[in-house]
Amino acid sequence: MNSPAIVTESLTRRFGELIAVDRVNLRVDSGQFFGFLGPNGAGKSTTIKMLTGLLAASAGSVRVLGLDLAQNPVEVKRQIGVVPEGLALFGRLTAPEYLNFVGRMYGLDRDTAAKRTAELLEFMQLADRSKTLVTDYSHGMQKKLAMAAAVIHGPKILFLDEPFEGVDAIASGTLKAMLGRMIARGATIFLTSHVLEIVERLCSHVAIIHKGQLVAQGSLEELRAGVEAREALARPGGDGSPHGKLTLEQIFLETVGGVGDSEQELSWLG
Amino acid sequence: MAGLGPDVTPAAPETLVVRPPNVRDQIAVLANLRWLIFQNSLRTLRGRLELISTIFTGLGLAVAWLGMGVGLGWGAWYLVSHEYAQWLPALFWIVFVFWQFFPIVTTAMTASFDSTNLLRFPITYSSYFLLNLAYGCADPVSIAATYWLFCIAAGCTAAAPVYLWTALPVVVLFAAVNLLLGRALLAWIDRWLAQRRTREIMGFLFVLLLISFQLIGPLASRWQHLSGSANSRITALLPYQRVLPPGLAGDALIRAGQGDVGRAVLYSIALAAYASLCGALFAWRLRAQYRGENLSETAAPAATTTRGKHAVQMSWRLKGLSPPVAAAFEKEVRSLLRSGPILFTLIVPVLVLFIFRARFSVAHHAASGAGLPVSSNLMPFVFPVGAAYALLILTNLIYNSLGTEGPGIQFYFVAPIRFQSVLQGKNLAYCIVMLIDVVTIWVGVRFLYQAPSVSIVITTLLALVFALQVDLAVGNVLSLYFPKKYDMAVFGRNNTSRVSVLIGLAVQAVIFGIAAAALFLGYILHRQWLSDIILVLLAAVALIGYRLSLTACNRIASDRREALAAELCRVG
Repeated sequence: MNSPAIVTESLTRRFGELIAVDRVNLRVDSGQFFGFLGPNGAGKSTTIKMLTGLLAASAGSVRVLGLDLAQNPVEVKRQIGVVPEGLALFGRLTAPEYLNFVGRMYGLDRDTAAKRTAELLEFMQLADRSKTLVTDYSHGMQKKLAMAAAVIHGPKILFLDEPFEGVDAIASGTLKAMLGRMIARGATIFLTSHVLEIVERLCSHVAIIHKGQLVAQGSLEELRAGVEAREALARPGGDGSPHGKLTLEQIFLETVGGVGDSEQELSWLG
Repeated sequence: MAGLGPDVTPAAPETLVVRPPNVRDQIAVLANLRWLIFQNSLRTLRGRLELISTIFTGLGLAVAWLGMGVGLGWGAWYLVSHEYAQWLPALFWIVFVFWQFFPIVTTAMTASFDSTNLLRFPITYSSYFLLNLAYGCADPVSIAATYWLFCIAAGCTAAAPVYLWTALPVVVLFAAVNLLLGRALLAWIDRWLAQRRTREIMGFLFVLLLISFQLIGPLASRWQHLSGSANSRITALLPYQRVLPPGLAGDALIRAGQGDVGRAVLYSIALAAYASLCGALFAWRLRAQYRGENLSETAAPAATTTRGKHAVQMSWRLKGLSPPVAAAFEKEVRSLLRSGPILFTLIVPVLVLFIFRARFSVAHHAASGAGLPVSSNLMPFVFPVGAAYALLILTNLIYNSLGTEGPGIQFYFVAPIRFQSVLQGKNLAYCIVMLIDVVTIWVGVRFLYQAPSVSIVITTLLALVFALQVDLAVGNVLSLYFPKKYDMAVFGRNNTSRVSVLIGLAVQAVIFGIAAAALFLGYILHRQWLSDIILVLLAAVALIGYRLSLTACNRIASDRREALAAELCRVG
């Protein structure tokens, strides 16, 4: 078994009376492409914020690469890259200025920051927009820039909150190519996404959070086997074998108890 | 949705319930929407405080506008009854300028109602046009100006009842011209302001215009002897103004008063033609909106990139600074240089020097002939006062230094840095701005007034070092506790925390009090060096306080990261 990249123990976050994340025990091994799924409001973003130091935990602990995040926040942050929900861009800079700024903030020297900036801009196909202010970029371009900024220091773990939301197929392809390279070189990627097809295609391991609690965790095969076993128990008369391989969407809906076709009838709806 | 379960017999689709959209219903729904938004805004303390301040402002405006209406009515009565009716167009010009100018001013400063949001609803073009017009009718400026016009009509009629039959249709037509022209202007300005760059340029020009108004008085006084009689100039313009709506409205009334019905009708028809023209311009703009024009600032698709051509751009080489502080400094300077509103704010102190020079020199010239504009007793204080004013302006930025970060604030919490590095970078940028301001003020004082003595310069600089450090220390803490999102592309009306403002004022009072006491002590004892020593000691104490505050800011930032992100990352 690989060494753990991220381990949480009873990670909890309360907002007044609301328990957004409830005693979550998560384990992500090094080199995994990890998908973190859940319905809207399940606690995905809250969890990722706690894992990256954007939000303090109400209880529990987070260990990243063996380091306690609460005790060693700076050392942990040096080794991770983050694309948060709001992208964390500065609109009044150009893309090269922003990447240089981020590189310097992570402690890169000027030459290295400049060199990596140029390479990243080329890779992300933003080099010919290098004079444009970030505020005038399209959403997809901003996403690519945020991704470039998250990797400029060569992080060992990359946290991505909905990286493919609002991104077209071309930009999405660029992002996936970069993530693929990172995984091939041994990095760990932790992403949240609503696009289950993408998660299914990219991720080797998945966890599902529902109403603040972790309800499933493991490789796709493990989750599939678990759901199939549950289905077999629920239908003892059946032969126990499904009619095809369960998709991640089916696994997800089974796990969080999503309803298929609503029984309610909207008689006025044409 | 109770009762819609499977046991209910499926009913036929209730499509008959949906009626064709009715513009009256839609106006009512919109009015209700505004009411609901208003009601919901009162849920928060901030919303209630806003309401209280709006009531106070509204009462003040209502009294002023009611008074203005009475004044215009009385003016109309006076002009007609004292046979000065030829000046009636002047009253219409007042209303015209107010109606057209006031809404444009507020539009340049704030985001206006975007009626294109209505286009996703099943709305016909005529309904869209009428809804926009209705919104214009409900505007306080339109209501006030219409009331003024009726006051003018009432004043004319009170002076001579013969005006009644003409005054009412003329003011109605004139109101229509104003309403349609105002809406057309706003619609076109909205079109131009849709782009950030244009918005900034227009805002910048507008503030420059306001500043230049300050200079009109002095310049007019100075060049009066060159320009000849103002009356003769105005008289020369009269024939030209007669073909414009206020002139036509006034002349229609004048002709009616003289019994020249034909001319009165002719001028009224011309007014109606103006109304039609404005309506057409307005309709033209709305038609483009209705068809779904795209004013997005989203970048055009990128051209094919030439692979392998790396445009290496280096960050600044700043020796002696750690990389995070240097990066934060560079980022702050770049952002400030690209923000028209902030840049403008920072050069205001220098502009004020010029304005005061112009104003005082006129007053002085009038009183004593020639020479310096400020008395010799006050001369030593021009440089310190200018520098203090510059610091005061800079505190707007210092006390909300994180407001400009927006969503970028999150980066500081995921980066492996101590928050004090960010603050140090920002503070250094502000120190440089202050230094540039002080040097410019010195140059301004040197050439506009009189070179300040070396001792005054030294004392002022020492006082500034003390004051700036205190402001930075307090400002850093307040920026963390009371951040307010600041749009760097918008002139004016960016929200500021009232708490920050109050504490800031108190801090300024203390700082200036202490510095003034130190200066005064040296002044009355004729020992300037004594003031300097006191200020050096104060600056040293302030430096210790500043260092301690930076350390505290690391903890405060960590504790308040959620609140900071919530305030600065919010949309709208």
